[in-house]
Amino acid sequence: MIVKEELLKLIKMPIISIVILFFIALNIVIVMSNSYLKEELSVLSELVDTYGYEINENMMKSFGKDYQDKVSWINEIAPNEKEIYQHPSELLLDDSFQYENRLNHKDYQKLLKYSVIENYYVSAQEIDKKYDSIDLGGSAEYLISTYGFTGHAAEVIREQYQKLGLRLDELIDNGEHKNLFFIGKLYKMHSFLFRHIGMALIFELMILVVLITAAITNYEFEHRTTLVTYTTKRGRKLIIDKFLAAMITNGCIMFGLIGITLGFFFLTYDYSRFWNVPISNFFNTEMPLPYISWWNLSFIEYFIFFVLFIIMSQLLFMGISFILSIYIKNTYLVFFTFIILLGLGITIPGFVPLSSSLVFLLQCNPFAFILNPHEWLMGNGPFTIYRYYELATTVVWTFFLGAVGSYTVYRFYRQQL
Amino acid sequence: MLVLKNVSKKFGDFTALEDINLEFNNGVYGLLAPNGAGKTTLIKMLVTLLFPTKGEIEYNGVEITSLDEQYRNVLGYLPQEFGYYKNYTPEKYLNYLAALKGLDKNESKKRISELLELVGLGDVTRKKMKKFSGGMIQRVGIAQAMLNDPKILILDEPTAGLDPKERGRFRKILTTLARDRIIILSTHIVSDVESIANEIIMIKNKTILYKDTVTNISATLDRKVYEAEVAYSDLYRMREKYQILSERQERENMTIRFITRDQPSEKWKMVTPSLEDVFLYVYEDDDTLAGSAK
Repeated sequence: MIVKEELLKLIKMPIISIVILFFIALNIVIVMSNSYLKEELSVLSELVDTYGYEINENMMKSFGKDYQDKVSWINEIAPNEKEIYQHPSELLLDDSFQYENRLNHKDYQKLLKYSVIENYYVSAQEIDKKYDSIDLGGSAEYLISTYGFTGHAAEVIREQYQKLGLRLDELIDNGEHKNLFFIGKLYKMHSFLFRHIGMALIFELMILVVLITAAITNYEFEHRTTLVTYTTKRGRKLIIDKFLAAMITNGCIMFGLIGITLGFFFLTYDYSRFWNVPISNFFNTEMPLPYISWWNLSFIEYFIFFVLFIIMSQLLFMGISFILSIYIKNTYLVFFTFIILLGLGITIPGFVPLSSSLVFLLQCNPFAFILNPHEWLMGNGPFTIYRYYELATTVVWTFFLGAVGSYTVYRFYRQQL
Repeated sequence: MLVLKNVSKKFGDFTALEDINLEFNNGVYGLLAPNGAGKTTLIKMLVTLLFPTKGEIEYNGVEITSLDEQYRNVLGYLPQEFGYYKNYTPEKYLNYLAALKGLDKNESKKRISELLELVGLGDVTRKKMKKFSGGMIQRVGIAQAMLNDPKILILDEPTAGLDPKERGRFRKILTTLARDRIIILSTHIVSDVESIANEIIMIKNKTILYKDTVTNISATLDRKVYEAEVAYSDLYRMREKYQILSERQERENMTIRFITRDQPSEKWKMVTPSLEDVFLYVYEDDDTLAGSAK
């Protein structure tokens, strides 16, 4: 009953609904910003329907045979009969073809589609070569010199890259890399989903979670009803009801905003055939070094962890704002203090000398944690390269905030009001 | 029985109350002192918003902080600044407070309806409180304090904002309620408590100056309060010499009420001291008392 009443107070705050609607609209715009790729992305779905996503000898044979048929068709429609084209892209790049433009719309679209298929076929043939040429030792040295790591910190990087090397071997043995997926270097769908949309969700939810937690915790102080409410039978335990109400509201908002945004994403971009594709596949590569997850995770497993980490980070932000609210007792001041803490959490690790391993330890805070969601559980982030970085950060901070929060509530019970 | 044992309250270096010993049984207690004397501090300690720096407050022999919600369950409190949610109706606000007071839904529905009728708000139960006058808000405050039928009812300046008719009504309600509970009524308006309080508590210099009946407190000024009719020309001299309790104009002269221990003049009329006389006497600045009844 009391929690329900506290929930009603939050529901009746118009600003919360307005901000949520604004964020939903914003996320839809962000999701749609890549919609021009939809047709090209759908080509891969057709390929997977025909050959499956796993790249093996039989699949490549079958794929290769069909590809040759496509190349034959290219040569049939080619304006220059003397010229033999090996790939659809060669025809597309031929100036004479471009100027003469003899194809009808349907055939032209078919040619474009074949050039997309070419990308997958040609790339698939190069996977082994690419993975054989990966030099993680060299990557570690490149990273060390690029960022300027020295001393113990540089040793840590070398050590972690050695561990990553073992994981890379395991990944190759498992064949995780040999799976079809959207070409990362062309479409950057991993960054689009896990970085751009992920960051938007994280920061939007952060704003809502901090405001909601502070607003309900400080509600009595801001409405000058403290003297009446905290002298009732429920007394100062009301703060626990407020915490629960904030938790329920934040939970619903997380569920809603994440659900609507990602639901809209998957309705726009068809991932239905790729749920079980390992996230560390070759095609997902966006940078010179492919994404190497510390564990063998499928796309759906990685996605679930991604959502879980977003929720975990928001719960940590909720804990921080709840503690701040008990001390500060003003929603806007809590919000600005939180922003200052966010700034400190992000910038302080930057002031530590790059020779000290403290630089890695200081990254283990909830604010630095949210900066590269696309690299969660991956060995690709230089400062977050530890295998258990995400787990350690979230678990340690949960216990830490739990302890500080309990002490703060205990203090509140004895505070002079 | 509510007992304060050697209670002191400090805020940093500032001592608000020192070594307070009080005992409350069923009945109305008027806590009478000017603003800033420490009434609200004392009340806030009684309602567990503040905690004594020294000493103990016990209810039926147990420290009130140990009793925790058991104590607050028998407590009704109207603070000096009664806060409310502007967009709530009194019915809804009282419903919320009833939930905080541990009342079940059916019980509280009936109780809220009765109380709003009692305080004269029966016809505006579903009107938003932002449209209420100060007096109406204060009546909502009184109703919420009585929601849980408290054994200890503490009212801090409850008549602020009430018109004379409402004050009279309020005093009647209190008299009815006082039979089986402790009512502590803090005020700086003497007439609020003079007629209804079983005992008056007066605080001065951080300690309890009086805790006694109105009659006994008033009797401390027996044979010292006089009334006299003086010409305007003599008024200044009288003001200089005596502590004036009240002045009223009558034709060309002024009738003054004052305190003195001097040999009375034949023109003066000795009057029965009232609680207000004691209040004015006790809280008059020491400087003004010079040369008067001292």
